[in-house]
Amino acid sequence: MAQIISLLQAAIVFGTVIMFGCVGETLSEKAGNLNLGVPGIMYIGGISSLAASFFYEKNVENPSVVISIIISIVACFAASALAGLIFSFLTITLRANQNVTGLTLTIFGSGVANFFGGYLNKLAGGVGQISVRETSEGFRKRVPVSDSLAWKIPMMIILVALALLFVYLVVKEVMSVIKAQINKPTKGIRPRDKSMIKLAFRLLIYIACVICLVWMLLNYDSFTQIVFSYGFMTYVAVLVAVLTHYFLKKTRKGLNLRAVGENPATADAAGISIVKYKYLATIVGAGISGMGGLYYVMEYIKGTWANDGTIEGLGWLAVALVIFTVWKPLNAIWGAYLFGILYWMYFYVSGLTRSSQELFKMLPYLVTILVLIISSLSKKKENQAPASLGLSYFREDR
Amino acid sequence: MSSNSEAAVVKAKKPVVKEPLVRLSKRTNMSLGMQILVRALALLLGLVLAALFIFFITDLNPIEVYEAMWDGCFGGVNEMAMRLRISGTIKDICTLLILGIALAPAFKMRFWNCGAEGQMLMGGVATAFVMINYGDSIQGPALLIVMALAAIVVGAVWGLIPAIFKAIWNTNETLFTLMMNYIAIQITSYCVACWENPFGSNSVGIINPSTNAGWFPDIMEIGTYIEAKYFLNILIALISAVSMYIYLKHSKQGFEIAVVGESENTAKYAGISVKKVIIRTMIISGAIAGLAGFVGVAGVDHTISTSTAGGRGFTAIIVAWLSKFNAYIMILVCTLIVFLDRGASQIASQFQLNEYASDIITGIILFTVIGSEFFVNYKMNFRKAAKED
Repeated sequence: MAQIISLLQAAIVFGTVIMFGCVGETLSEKAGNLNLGVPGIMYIGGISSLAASFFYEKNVENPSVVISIIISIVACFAASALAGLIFSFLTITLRANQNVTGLTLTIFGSGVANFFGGYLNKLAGGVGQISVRETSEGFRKRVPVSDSLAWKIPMMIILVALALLFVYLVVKEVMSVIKAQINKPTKGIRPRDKSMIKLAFRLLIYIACVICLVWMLLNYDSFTQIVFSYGFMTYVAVLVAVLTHYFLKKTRKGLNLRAVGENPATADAAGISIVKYKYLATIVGAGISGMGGLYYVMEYIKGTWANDGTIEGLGWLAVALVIFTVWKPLNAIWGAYLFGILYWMYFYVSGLTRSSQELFKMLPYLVTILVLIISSLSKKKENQAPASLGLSYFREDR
Repeated sequence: MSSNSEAAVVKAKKPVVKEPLVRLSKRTNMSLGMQILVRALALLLGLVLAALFIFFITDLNPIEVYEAMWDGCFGGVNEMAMRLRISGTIKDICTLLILGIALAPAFKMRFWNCGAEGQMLMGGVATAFVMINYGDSIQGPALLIVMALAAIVVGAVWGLIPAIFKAIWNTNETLFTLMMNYIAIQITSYCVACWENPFGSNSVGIINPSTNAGWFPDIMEIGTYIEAKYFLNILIALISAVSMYIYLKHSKQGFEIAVVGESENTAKYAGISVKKVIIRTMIISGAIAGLAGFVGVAGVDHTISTSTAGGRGFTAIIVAWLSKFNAYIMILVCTLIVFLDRGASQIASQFQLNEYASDIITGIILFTVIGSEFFVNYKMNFRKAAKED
């Protein structure tokens, strides 16, 4: 049990880094810009947040943790957005090839980050010496959960309410199926019922959720360990994913953005400003992706800098996650955690030799390829990549 | 009187049309001289921007820095140092060139093969497998041929898998090949862990250090500055470059590749089987990338590790794109990039500058050259001064 909790904790921390990267990249790809510079942007976001909080801590008498946190978040977003601006200018205005520009941005970003990382380390006194401990601890401050009844009772009530909600959903689905069977026409052409499979799948998920919630109620300690062992940015990531989903699906501007990504010629004819939407989507998307770098630096490696290539690997996993989530930000939430579990599984499965561990590490990429194949087989329009992904738009071509 | 006021009303009602300040139109053709000029200017701008960066961040004289970079590639205190440096530079250019050539046919077909890294690694793994297990049983050139064949076949298979899915189901090849890279890295890690020597070091170490079985033999020195052991590297690179140039420009299959890249529909109307072209081209592309792995393992490192490709697969994408799939221009672009890379290691040690500065400088220069494509492809028409009615 302790192993599973430990695996889940590692998975969620790992998953949050790529969740930021994925949601930002989804926003950019929905507008048609395939930004392969995500690893570079995450590098830049990470190093800028570190540098900002480092200089603040060094130059101020009594650094306030809150201000340091705000400064690092703002610096991270600004620097990542700037990197996104370079990409946007080259691909949207100068209509350069997006793959090549993105890869160059990755090289450039990793160069900038590792260069300034080494430089900051030198300033701080040596390799790996830089440490913004206070700020990092601020980021990692846990939600103060305690055993007192003041906490326990509201939590239990929330869990019970969620469990009841899922039970209600299950009951609703079953009732609708029964009603449909009763009202089914006895004669005439009946459409084939593919929705039965989807319904069964949905019911399974709901029932699984109910079982999980009941288990959490019964094992309250494990529940707090799994859900509350992280800094606030973990929950911010989920919030950002939900907000992005809401923006894309339920607002007018989100609809315009999706139109730009699917068919810019038509959107242009309808009067939507292609340039504005593409620029904003890529820049804001880059800013969000950069937060992944901030989370990595502040929470994953706890406020220091090491010149290894881990961020780059995480960046490519984020790109893979975008495909896995079929360009839907809500899927990024559980998809990121699933990737985290797949990534860390080798550590917790007993009986693996060092060599077979390497094969295990392949799992996230294999799963992504599977999703890629299935989605291209599927032909369903909702699960396709945005149609103009990777293509630049020139009005006279219309 | 009334006609005057009528005329006044008509004149006042005439709409004022403002032309935009800049209007873009696509160029059909730009003379070769102008193209070279545009690229050269972009390169110059990139060098200037990089120099500004060097100066502002590190307070060093940029000219000195560039001189040190040149020194790191082609110079040296004495003849032996120069030999080492120039040989090293040429060796790096060869490996990058082979990768760029591997990507040229795929990119010409607009099949974005981002998997060169993985294909090279798989080729290297196959080569190392033959070297380790058959180094004693097969002798001489036959061993090299078997290694090369193994690398080519494995690389081709690695390139074939994404091609099949693209050909039949239109699966996005950029993302598929990217993922195949990471699977290849993991397979390489697995093999390294299986073959590790000594046990527990997680590295294969130099393969066949005593017998030199499977290493590239010292054939012949070229001039005074290129060591003999790199003769085969240069030979393979040059043969690949010339063959690819002839294949793309002067063969029927090369023509088919160009047509498919230009427009799939045109290819279909012309009776070219797009599926067959995609699969055939990716087999070639993967095979040559596998060959690069063969050169990397047998000719350069004499070992296999996850850093055998070292990010060159991604750099090769940029090389292939910038050289417009022309094998000869690729030689120039490879030289530039290797120069930036090796030069930066030199300035890192000479000026105590962080060696990652090379990535920054490379990035800046690549940005400017990529951006210069715009001026080659599009024409900016500025608003002419308004004429008086």
